[in-house]
Amino acid sequence: MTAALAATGLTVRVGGRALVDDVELTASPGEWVTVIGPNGAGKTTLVHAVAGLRSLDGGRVALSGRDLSTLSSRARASLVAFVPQTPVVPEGLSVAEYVLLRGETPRDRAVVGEVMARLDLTELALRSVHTLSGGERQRAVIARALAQEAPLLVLDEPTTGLDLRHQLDVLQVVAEERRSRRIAVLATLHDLTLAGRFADRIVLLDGGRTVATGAVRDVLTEELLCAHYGVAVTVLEHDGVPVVVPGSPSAVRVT
Amino acid sequence: MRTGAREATPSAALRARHLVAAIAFAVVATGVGLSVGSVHVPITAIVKDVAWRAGLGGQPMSPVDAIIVWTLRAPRVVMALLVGGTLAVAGGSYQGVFRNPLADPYLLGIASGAGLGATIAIVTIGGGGAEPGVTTIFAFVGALVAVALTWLVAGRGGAGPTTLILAGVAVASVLAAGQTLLQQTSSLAVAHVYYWLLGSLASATWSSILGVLPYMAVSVAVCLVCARLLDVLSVGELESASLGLPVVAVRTTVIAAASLGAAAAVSAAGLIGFVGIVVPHAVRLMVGVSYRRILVLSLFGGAGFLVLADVLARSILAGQELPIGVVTAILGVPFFVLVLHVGRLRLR
Repeated sequence: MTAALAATGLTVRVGGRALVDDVELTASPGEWVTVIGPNGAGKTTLVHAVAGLRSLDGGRVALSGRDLSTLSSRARASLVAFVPQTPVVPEGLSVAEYVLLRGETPRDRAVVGEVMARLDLTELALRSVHTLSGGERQRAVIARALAQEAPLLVLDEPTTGLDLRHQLDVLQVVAEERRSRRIAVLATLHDLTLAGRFADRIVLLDGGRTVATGAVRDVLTEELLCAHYGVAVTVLEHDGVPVVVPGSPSAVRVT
Repeated sequence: MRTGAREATPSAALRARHLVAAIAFAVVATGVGLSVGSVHVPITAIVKDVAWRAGLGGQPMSPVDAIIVWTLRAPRVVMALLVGGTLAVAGGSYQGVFRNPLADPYLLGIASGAGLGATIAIVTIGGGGAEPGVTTIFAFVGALVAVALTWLVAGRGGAGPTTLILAGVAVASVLAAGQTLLQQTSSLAVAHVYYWLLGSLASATWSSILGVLPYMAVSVAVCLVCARLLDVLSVGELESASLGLPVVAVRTTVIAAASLGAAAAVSAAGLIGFVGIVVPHAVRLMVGVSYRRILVLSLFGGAGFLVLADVLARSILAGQELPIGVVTAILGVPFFVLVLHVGRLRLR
């Protein structure tokens, strides 16, 4: 099966400094890969590079087997959809207009109608996007990305600015789409518990380099997180999912 | 199900009722422009004359009225329609491509470039009063040179909107300084340059219209074709790139087209302010933020607006004509305040 994403030797430099340094990254259809790491680790630069939104200084990215560097803008957008950390929402644009931005052929309109129905946005179609709550707005942004029907969905901190309920709501929407449509998901997340709850595989980035990659339990360990975040943490378990709590194990008390 | 999905996703495309209203505004303004002046010719007489000329019955107007309407006023009204429509579309396009509501067609130095070009023509060729046709050509070339300089100073196509705007400010300052310096060398030229800078449609002829029409037509056509792409660009460069938009190519194309139209408009009629800002804003407040609506409706709105402004310019003072740039400012600001007020009331 062709991987939705296969990146090798990925390197991005700014002013001689490598923000992303020789990173390998893969995501198969239906797989959720989450990139974690402290601030400045290179997570956003990495996902921008994978989505073709910044040029590479080394390495190669293949999207569904096709070399990213040879793709036109339009072809690239059919293979990877991107949700930025802080989406720009033009004042006055309705939800329907916003989700329809990519195209308005009859097929585009049918796809958008179906995506909006799946994400419970149909009743909000005529509302201005900027008047929506944070959670509703993020649903609209994800709907706009899903309307691209790309096999790879890249999300850069999709839960920024959302309360706990809406964080879960947004990630569950993505999880459902991933399950039902077999799209690959590449996300960056700061919340390590959420990262562990939704990902199949985690990549820990520090200083632009991959320092650990593997199953959730193999990466979300107290030793690795302490070493790379520079703070003591305790990893508990709840419903079979790791829960990362700041503080050393001796200081953490479960009530 | 598919039908239901379509109903749930109304698009930002142009509504027929908006288009009809905008065309009606331009047509009424044209009628007023042909009818009103130092000699009043009733609109009914003009309509009957048009019908008679088209072989649809009607009745010809008197030879004197026919000369006033078709020889003196018609070229002026047509030029006002072209200049107003082009400036409004160029202004709306600049606002879209720079994602800046304060952008106007003169943002990248066109005004200063055209001003310097016209001053060179007036001072060096006409000895204080060059032929209008010569001034037009120099102003047109000056405007295009200014935009090209801005583009080069900003680092060509890869430059971001902010860099382009800053480069435009720098180029405009240098060219304006050059114009001032040149003016100092000829006291005779000052009055002519000043008159040109304030804008006028008085020298419009059918041949001058044919001279600028191709540039304006290309400019407006390209901007209208790119209107949907400007909607995509409204979510920012990063997101529009992720949606498959070739951002640099779109930005370069729209800037080039809008600049070409603005340069042609300025060279034909001088510096006419406010049309490029006020008209797209007024349209935006009335029909929403989609450039597919804004640009088409601005074309007709700007055309009608400038015709009415020109009517006022030649009618307010008996036997004397006001610079049209002054009238657009006087007329444009209250008009904009009114639209702003109505828009706020509607939002409540």
